[in-house]
Amino acid sequence: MEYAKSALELLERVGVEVVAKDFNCCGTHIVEEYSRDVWLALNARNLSLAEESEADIVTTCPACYQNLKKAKIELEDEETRKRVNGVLASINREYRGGVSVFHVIEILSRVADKLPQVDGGRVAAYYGCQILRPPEIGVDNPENPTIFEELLEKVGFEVVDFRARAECCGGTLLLTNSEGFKKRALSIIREAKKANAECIVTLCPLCQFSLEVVQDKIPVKPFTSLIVESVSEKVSERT
Amino acid sequence: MKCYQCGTCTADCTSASVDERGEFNPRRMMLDYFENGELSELCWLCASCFKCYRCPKGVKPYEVLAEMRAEYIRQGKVPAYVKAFVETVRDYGELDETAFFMKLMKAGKMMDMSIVISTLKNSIRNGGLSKAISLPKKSRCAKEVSIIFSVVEGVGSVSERKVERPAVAGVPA
Repeated sequence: MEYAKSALELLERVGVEVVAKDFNCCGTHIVEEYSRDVWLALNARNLSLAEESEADIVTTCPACYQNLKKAKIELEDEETRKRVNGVLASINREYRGGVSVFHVIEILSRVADKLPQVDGGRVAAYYGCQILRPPEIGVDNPENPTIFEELLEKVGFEVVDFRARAECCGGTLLLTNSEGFKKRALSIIREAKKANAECIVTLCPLCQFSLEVVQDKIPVKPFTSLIVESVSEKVSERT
Repeated sequence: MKCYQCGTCTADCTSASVDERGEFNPRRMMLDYFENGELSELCWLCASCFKCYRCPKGVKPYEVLAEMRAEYIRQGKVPAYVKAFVETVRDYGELDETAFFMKLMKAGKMMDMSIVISTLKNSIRNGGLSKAISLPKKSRCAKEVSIIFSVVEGVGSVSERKVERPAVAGVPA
């Protein structure tokens, strides 16, 4: 099952009310470097959409998470917000500053006891980069994160000791250094195999893509997909 | 200069770890930048992994390299993949993969065929042929996003900028 779909399923299961919104691309650092004000306005638009529903934002992608959170912090400055709202006025929107930004792992780990229990196998929990770094944005201590392992163990997986868990998958090098990209992604795979994992678990769509596309020796799954699929396997075994 | 050239950033650097020629060196790039205001076209090879955050002097090398890229863009030296990315977001409201790919092809950007093929295989495995090959589609927010772009920088600005290919070997066009 797709990452976004399974994340929604789990969020609803733990009692989070989800409102779908017409969000745009966060722009990533590419648009940020291209035009700071376009980047701020793109993120302010997304924040304003959540604000009009009196909701916070949850993302499945660490890059979206990082860009929204960075922009949100910059928009706390009144002068910046006023300037950006001047742009948003052209599409009849305004961001007043009252939205929090979360990655889905933050929400689910807070209510992990409400998640379904599974007979999970041996998995390697792969954080990648932007969920942890830079430290002022990341969801956990980048030197020794525990949030991902704790969640997976709570729902019933055995989490292996995985050296490459916070290394870069090389996904951002795909268009600029494809040999470097393959080298990085394969080195993550090698470490996961060395750790004797049956499956690599991701929380980033780009990591998911990178690790899946360079090899077919070890399965790679978004963490919410793996949880949902393991639950349905458990059910089908019983019936 | 705040940076005291310890090289912690370079020891931690993802891009340096996959650069066999040993040219990608953020410590060196920062020296040239801070001392002489020199930009390095190698900045386009940064993986934006933020591994270099462990700077004992708090310099944030990733922000220095981002500033180099922003300066190149201000000078009109925009790599084809950056132009294609920005235009896709501007025209489609999101990163429509088909549109992005078509813009890359149009700009003559060569893709690594082994990656293209395994991407297709992967998409078919995950969602069938219709998922792997689909027409570009504007998202509902595309119009508002285009308005944001044109209000900030005037209509048609991305395509009006001069696009140059970086001259350094191994640096993407």
